[in-house]
Amino acid sequence: MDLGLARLRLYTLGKAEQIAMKIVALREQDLEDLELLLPELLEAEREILLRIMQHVAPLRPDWAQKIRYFLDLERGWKIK
Amino acid sequence: MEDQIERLFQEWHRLGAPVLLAAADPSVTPRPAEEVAVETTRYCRHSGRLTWVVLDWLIRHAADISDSDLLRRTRESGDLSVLGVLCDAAWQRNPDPVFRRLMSSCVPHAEVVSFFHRVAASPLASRLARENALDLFRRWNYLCSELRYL
Repeated sequence: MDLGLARLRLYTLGKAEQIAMKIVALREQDLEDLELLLPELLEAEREILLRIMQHVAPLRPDWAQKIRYFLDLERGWKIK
Repeated sequence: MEDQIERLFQEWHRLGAPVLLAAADPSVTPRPAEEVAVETTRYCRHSGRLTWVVLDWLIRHAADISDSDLLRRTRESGDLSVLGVLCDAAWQRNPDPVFRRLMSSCVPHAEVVSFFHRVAASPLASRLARENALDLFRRWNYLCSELRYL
């Protein structure tokens, strides 16, 4: 977010970022939230989620694998 | 079921538990805490948030609990294995004798299963719960890797 601030840089979390974090955490309440968030995901947000997965892969391969496994095998996404 | 859980959140809010509500419902009829707790034992496995809320209330209100009333009501219409988990977890934070007395009358679940139903429905989450299961839950024949104190 560009608010014209000199020393602060603000970021906002979108739905895709929230979903990625919730899959990584995967507590019961995250599963509850994912039931609500995933069905309302737009195609563009879905692409962002896949990009997040690819972005974190070199840094945290375990996180990327978790996201891939959850979306692919549990939610039926066809991830290449 | 969502309606019952929402009503329980409203009731715990009224009883002083740290529940974040969109809006408090003034039409919720007050009930004794023991009665709300017994009903909650039937729904904890459907909601982590509800579990952590009732756990926090128990820790803070040990002196207010009528253990004989809570046990009698739980035997009639609650879940004694879930009450065992709650009292065991509460005891870790507040070693009040009431939790020991309650635990001694609770019984573990009949077989080893995931504590939360949503976790059981997710192969990945249930595998993680099994691999990282906490001893506290194992004592009551449940598999669960998370325990939150609010």
